[in-house]
Order: sequence, then structure tokens, then C-alpha cells
Amino acid sequence: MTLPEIRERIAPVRLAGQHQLPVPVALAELFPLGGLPTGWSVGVSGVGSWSLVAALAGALVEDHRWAAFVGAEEFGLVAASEVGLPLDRVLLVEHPEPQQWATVMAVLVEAVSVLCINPSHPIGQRDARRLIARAREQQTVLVHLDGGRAWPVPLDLSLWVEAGTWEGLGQGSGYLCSRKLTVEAQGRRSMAMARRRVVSLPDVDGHMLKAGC
Amino acid sequence: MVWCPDWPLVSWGVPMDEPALVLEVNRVVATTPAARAEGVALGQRRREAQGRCPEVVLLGRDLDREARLFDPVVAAVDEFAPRVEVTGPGLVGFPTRGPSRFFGGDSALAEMVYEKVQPLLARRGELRVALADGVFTARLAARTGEPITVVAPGQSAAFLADLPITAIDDPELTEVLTRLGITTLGRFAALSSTDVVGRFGRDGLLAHRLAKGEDDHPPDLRRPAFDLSVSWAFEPPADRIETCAYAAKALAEEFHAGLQSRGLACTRVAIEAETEAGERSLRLWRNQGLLSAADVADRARWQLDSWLHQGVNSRPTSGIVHLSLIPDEVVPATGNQLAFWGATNDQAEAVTRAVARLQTMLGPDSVTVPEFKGGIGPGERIRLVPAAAVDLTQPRPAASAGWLNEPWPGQLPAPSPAKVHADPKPIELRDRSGQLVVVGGRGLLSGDPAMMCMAGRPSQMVATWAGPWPAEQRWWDPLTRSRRARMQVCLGDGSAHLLMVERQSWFIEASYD
Repeated sequence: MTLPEIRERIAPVRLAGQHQLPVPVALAELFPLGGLPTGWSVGVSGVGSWSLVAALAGALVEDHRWAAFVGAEEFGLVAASEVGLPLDRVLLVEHPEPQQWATVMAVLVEAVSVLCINPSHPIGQRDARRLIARAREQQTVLVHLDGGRAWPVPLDLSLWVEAGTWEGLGQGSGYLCSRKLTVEAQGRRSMAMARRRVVSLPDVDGHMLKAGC
Repeated sequence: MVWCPDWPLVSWGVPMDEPALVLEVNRVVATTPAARAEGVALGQRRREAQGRCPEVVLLGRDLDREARLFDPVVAAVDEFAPRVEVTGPGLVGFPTRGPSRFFGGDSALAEMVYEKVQPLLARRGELRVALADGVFTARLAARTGEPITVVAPGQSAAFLADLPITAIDDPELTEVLTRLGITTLGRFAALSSTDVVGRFGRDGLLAHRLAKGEDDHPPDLRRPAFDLSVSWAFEPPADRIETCAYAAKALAEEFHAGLQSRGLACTRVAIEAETEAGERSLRLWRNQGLLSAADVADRARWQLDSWLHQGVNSRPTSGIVHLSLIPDEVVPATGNQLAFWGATNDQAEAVTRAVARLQTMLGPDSVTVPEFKGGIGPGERIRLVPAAAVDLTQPRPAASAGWLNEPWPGQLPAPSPAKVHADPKPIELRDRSGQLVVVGGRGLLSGDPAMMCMAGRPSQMVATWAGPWPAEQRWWDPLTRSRRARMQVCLGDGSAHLLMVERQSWFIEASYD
């Protein structure tokens, strides 16, 4: 542990906004605070959003944190592992019945740091606000795999993904190899200004890399 | 000490002459004599046990059920002594000095207890009653195989002397001692305490005390001078176990926080509940180690559960108004030391608790953790294991990247598709002249694919493509064999998909989202 890290940990006062989870290096420029504040809800949408969520969650769960995916039966876990999500700290939960949804979320938000949801039904205003309050208190990040379509309250941060073409495939030859994604982020407070960055996801090595703008 | 060795099986109501076993986290924790005769032993893996005895009946561990059904046994023992302590389902003990004087001697008491409890087991499973100076000696005496064992006062050391060193439940210590040539408790007890402390520290000293037949708790054990008990008043009275269980959980946390603030840990807790009509249930619970907050909450739930679900005559007539947790024996806590610069944020225990709760709500198979396995298709390379069957606090190599490094024939190289469709969508693939593209017997395409059509969607241009890569699976098995081929395509809108063809029908198996 370096000296600045120790200094940060033993600082007498830490404001709520200073509690942050690390983000992938390639996306660091999208987050002017240096990380993702805990308790925020983040919506991710667009082609390539599932890969982005996997890469993002991989950085968020560093340092023994856990991630839970609710109702993400189609999530390609091999691909997620390839872009850096440690599968030994991933919990998968099936779609709960709508009347059980709030209870299931209340249990999960206490246990994990990253809660990825993909609701199959519209969420009620009350359930949503209660979950947000619990997430702030428990320092959990909520990630909406559907881009927040079923969410009745404004998101703290929205990430739009625009996929470029894949490299490596020819007319009957080659393999898929890498592609570029354009990620646009806009959110609350310090992130009110929309920012765009281009990343390679996956890169030729399978990771996420910063690419030219 | 009263011990039912096969309690997990007795509670399931399995006949003892049929092979059966109880599993916890994939390890055998209890077996019937019939299964033991076939070579099934405690601690084996499930597969190993099934290999020895294929017709064995597998049962899951259900501590709640065990505790609930054990209550009649505790109640029967309760008639002999006022302070009965339950170590867990299957094991109960009480201090015998007073009762044995009253009932006419140690042997007479042991026999009376045996006669009293034996009918409750209805001849299913064995029952062992043992009487000795200390809890540890009594527990070992119960294992001797005799239904009733009485170790005379002062004879504990002599009784223990010939037992193997592994009777002490500390593999790390006993392994070293065995290598040093100390294979029995007697030889360990013969060492001087100072030497043992010098070499093995505090844990070694405790083990040494056990081997000498002294009590398994340090002598400075005491009732706390200050009141650390916590209680909860139900308003209105609670008559449902769920309400009580939630209160018990919150109470256990508070109880634990109180102990921790004094640097203490609890080895025996008294749990007391009182109903509106004044009925009371008091029970002492001991744990071999220390009781954590979760342990205390579990025990409170077991006690209340069995009390509320008793027969009509002994069931409380009104709701519970009062629940208290009283630390009965405490020791200085030497437990987990957190990292100096704040806690290492290890969530595995919180996740384990969440899994247990979700499982009761959603069913055992709806909460899973992924593990890698060998396979060709993107969905075949991951196995979803019910989270309750895995110890999440331990490292799990099968879920770490790099678990399977060997090449798997037919597997496509990374990257893998990020979206694996639960039910593959049927499509049609056509070439430039509009003909359907098929895969020939030699694994070649009949023409270059140019258009992809999906029912109800506009057809899309195929920009680039590669494949097909044939995958013949289980060719040796006529029932499950499959002949497939896979192809990667990139469509005009930039999206990439993994196509699968089987019996000349094309499907989108997964998408590179």
C-alpha cells in the first residue's frame, strides 16, 4: 500500500461523495472523480453494453468485493471472465416474482457491492426509492442492464454504448478478434457534462484498452 | 453427555438398515450403519460415497429440522437436571454432581437417562450416554461404542491416556504431534505445560489441558460481573416464528456487539422466552468453539421453533412477549484481528448469509454461482452450482480464470459472446442468388452467405463471416450425439453473432454484445 492510499484511509472525515469504487483504467477519463461513487445507480444501454458491464463490474469488485446479477440468464459468463470479471465473486439470482422483487433486492443490497439488475416488470416508485436509500447506506452500486427502462426515478449516471465494427473477420476466414466501442457518459453533479471516449473492448489481448478519441 | 451419533439421519426418519447419508457442502457428515458397512465414511465426497455404495440415499443437511425434532430429547433430559446445555442437534449435556447424588450414583443416573431417552428414538439410531469429570472426556467416552460409559471421578486422565492424539479437534496441532512421535493423549499429557506453551502457544496449552482430563475451558472462566444480557419486548405478542427469528437476529447482533465492546466472546448462552400467559422456555446452548452472532441467532430460532410447534399440550397458549439472550460463560476474545488500516472488506460471509435467506424465498436452484467446465459451445463452458452447496468463504479454483487451460477440441478462441441466448432463435441464411445456404457432409458451405433472415424482422446483410467449424459431440452415444457446426458472422449493422447449424437448421446461439 502506498503512502497516499494510507493517508486517504486514515483521513478523519470522509464525505459520502468520497466513497468510491474503482473503475477500469480505460474508462477513467469518463469519471472525473476518479471512481464511481457508492450508492449511485448506473444505467447501461446500447449494443455492447453487456461487455461493458462485465468490464466495469470487474474493476468495481476489486479488493474482495462481490457482484450479484439478478435476472441475467443470458449473460455470457465466459466472455465476462475474459474481460476481467472474477467469477469466484459473482452470484447469480433468477428473476424473482414481482411481489418478491423488493425483498430479494433488500437482501442482496446488504451483501454485495455491485448489484446488476435487469427487471422484467416495471418497478414501483416506492420500491425504487427504498432500494436507492438502502444502496446509499450500504455503499452498493446499482447497475441497470436494461438502461433503466423499468426504473421510475432518474438515474445517477447513464452510459450509452455505440459499437463499432468487429475486426478479424473476413469473407470465410479469420476469427472475431477485437472491436471499438464509443462510450458516452452523462450523470449528476460533477458528471453533468456528457463525455465520450472510445475504447477497445475486447482488445486483441481480450482486455479493455483506451483507444484514440 | 447424551449423544445420538446418527442424529441427522434419525431426524430424516430413515430406517437404519438402509444405506443413507447426509451431505453438507458435498461432504458426508452422517451415515447409517448399513452405509458404513459398504465403506462409506464421514468426510468423503459425494461421488466417492456413491462409488462405494451406488444405491445409497442422499439427504441434505437441515439443521432447523434436526433441532426441532431434537427438542423432545432435550425435554426428557431436562427432567433430570435444571441446567441442561445443548451443544447442537444430537448432543446434549448437563452437570451431574447434584442429580447423581439424588438419583443414587453415577451409573444409576446414566442408566435412567438411557431408559428415558431410548424410547424417543423409536429404535432408529444409536444412543450413547457418558458421564465423566469434564465435557471433553464425556464426549470421547460417548464415542467408545458402549451405550453407557461412566468414567469414575479422577479417572479422566487414565481413561484418555490410550486414545489417539487425533481426538483433539485441531488437525494442525495433531499432525505436528504425530510427527514428533506423540500419538496418544497420554503421552501428550505427560509433557510439562511450560514446554507445551513454549512450543505451541495458547492453543497448545488448551489442548494439553484437555489431554490431562481437565476441563476444556480455561480456569478463568467466569460469569460476567456486568450485565451483558439483551432482551426484546414484542409488542404486540409474536406468535409466528418468522417474527421471532428476525427479532432474534437483531438481538444476536446487539448481544455480540455488547460482548465485543468488552473484549469478550461467549461460549455458552442462555436463551429465554416468555409468553403473555407467563409460560417460559429457558435453554442453555454451548458451542465447541465460540458462538458468533449468526450462531446465537440460529440457536434462538431453533429453540423458539420447536417450542411453538410442540404438541397441543405443551405448546405455549399465547404469543411471545419477551426474548432475552444471557451470556452464561464468557472468555476473553482472541478472535479475528482486523487489518491495521481498516478492515479488509471481505464480503463472503455476508454473501453466504444472503444466499441462505434467498434460498428460503426463491428455492435452492435459483441462487447459483458459476464454475468453469469443459465444453464447446459458449453456454456449455459454465456450470451453475447452487450457491448453498458451496463454501463461499473458501477460495474456489473452479471459478477462477485459468482453471481449465487444456485445449478443448472445437472450442472457439476468445473473445466469447457476451450474450448467450437461452433459447436459440431460428434463422435462415441465404447466398447472393437467394438460395438457402446448407452445410455439406464434409463441413463445407453450399455458397457464401449474403443475407440473414429472422422471422418477423427485416433481413440483414452479412458483411463478413468465418467458419463453419464442425463439432461432433458424443458420437459414441446414439441418444445424445449431436453433429453441429458453428459460424461467426458480422452483419451490416455492425453486430456480430455466433450461428449454430444442426440438421440443416440455422440458429443464433449467442451474440457478441
